[in-house]
Amino acid sequence: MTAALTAVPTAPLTEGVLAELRAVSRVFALPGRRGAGLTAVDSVDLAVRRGEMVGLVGESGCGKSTVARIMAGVLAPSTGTLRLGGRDFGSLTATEARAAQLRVQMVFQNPHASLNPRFTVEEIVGEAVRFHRLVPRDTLADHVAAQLLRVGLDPSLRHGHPHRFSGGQRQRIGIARALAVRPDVLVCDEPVTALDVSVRAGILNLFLDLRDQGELGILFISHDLSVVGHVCDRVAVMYLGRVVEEAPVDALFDAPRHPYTQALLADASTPSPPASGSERIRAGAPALSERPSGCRFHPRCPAARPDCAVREPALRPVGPGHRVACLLADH
Amino acid sequence: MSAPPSPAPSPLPPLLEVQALRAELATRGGPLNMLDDVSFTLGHGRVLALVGESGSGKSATAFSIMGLLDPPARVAGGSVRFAGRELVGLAEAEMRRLRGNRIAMIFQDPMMTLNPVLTIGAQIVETVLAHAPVGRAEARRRARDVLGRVGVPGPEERLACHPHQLSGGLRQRVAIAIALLHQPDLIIADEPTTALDATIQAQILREVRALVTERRTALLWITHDLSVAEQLADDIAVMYAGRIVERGPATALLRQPIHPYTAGLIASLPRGRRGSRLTPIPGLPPTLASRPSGCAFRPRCGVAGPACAADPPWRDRLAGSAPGGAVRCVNPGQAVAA
Repeated sequence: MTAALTAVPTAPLTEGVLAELRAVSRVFALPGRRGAGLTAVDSVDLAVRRGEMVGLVGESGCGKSTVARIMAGVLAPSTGTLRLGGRDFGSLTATEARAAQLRVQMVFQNPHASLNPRFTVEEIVGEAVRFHRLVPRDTLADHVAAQLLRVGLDPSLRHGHPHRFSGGQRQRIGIARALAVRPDVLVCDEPVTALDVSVRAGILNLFLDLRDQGELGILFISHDLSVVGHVCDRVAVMYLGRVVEEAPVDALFDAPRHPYTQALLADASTPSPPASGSERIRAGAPALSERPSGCRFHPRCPAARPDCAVREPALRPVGPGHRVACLLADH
Repeated sequence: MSAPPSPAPSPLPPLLEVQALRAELATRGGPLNMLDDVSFTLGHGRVLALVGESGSGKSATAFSIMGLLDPPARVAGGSVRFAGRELVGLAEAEMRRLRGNRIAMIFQDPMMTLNPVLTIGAQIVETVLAHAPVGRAEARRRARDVLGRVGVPGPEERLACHPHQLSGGLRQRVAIAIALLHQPDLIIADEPTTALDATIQAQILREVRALVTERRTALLWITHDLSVAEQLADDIAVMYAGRIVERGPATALLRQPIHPYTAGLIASLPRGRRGSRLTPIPGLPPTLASRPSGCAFRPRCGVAGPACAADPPWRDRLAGSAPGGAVRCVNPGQAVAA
């Protein structure tokens, strides 16, 4: 079944969907300002299917990490729904919710901070498995060893503590821990940002291998477009809480439609500064609290028209699997 | 140890001349080498990127030049000449005067530059007043202007903020703005844009590049990011395990790396067909305590041979062409093939 689904990337929208946000918003209350709130995530639709790696990119504060936490079921949306395995997460009983939550596991940015320094590798990788009694007690050690092998670590290292490992090895331990509870979805928040280039390559290969095995869906959050462009199948671009463009990786990188995506790619990929006269956007997004009216990108947009300040564009299809929220792309 | 071939000869002595710099870390088991035989020169209006991975000695080099290595680390030998003056062994009061005026450092952590109890405005205005004969109103206008140039949104409101009220990225931009205002002869920057967004990083690199061109500032930029080095630098020096292993003009070095480590770094970047497997460098860099003798890269090197157990000599990167840079490898011919 899995193989059939991965072989058909253009399957109908609901097919193979493991985790999905539908019209999800999240408002954070501002301390001391009753009634006021920051909308960190605003009406986001995002699905992760089996056998695919979905990239989520955008500048600091655009809501990427909030999306990650909502998809992992550790942060409730203010409105909208999280669907895991085809069911509305909010409607599950406590027991069902706990089981569903295990199906989505997170991998964090900082492998130094995200592993308990007092635990051995075996305890770190096996802890949730033991707690949730996912494998018989007497096979736990084998189960842990299998996870370590899967991420490219020597199982004989399982009695060591995290401080004895390099950054890359620690990130492998973090991935083994996530895999140990047999999830459907990995939500990875900047998983290679803290790693050196030569080590990062090995971790990216591991993600590609996990994806190709076809069992998992992976949400891969990164601010590094060269990495996302290399490993992801589909990419969503967020700006100030909204998805402004979403497309298969080739379409997004080769023919981006949103001026923001175009600007991000121009700044990230050109090894040398582009010739003078080419359009550039002002650096840095405004704070969420200063969100502009209409299209929230319009004050920085080189192509903005007067109505961009008034009308907020919806995300509309412009090609196969390609959606853009821009008034200029609307016709 | 042979002296590295000098880069393009210039009539004036270069602004910064680092020669056979060595730094040690004292431990109970005896001193460990942090830096070994680090040599390079940097002239007015030039940008040198010092590239390497964690623990390669990039930051230790910067801190050694600035006289900021704290015990148990110390400079154990070699020379750092700035504008003809020896900095190794210079009295702290003298060094502090240089750091305040002629040499600026931008740290990875902006709070090493910023004072937590003063507003951003007070700190920038103070810097302007210290360096230019202007009134407070003009100083404030320049403060707003420089914040805008490094991509700080709403500069006027930020001037009233204390550092803790700003995000890490904003703080770093303020620290960079202050370093630019100093109008120093030499800026040493230790990965200051690593944590910043791509659009902001790009703008800061443009701003810094413009400064170098306009004011002929010399810039030593430390980074692990080869694409940043490519965008910014005239020359690149690649560090591995406390040594410079290859250096040369940025474009030539990146296009045709000779040292197997440099070649490995470039090969590990996500390039080529989307979804294709990348090529990591096998193994791990050595720790300070476990650095192999001879070429420290040899346990990870695909073309290493018995000769690599001895200290590799410097050679021209391109046969007989010193301006093309230099490489420290016994087998540069094979390395090209690797």
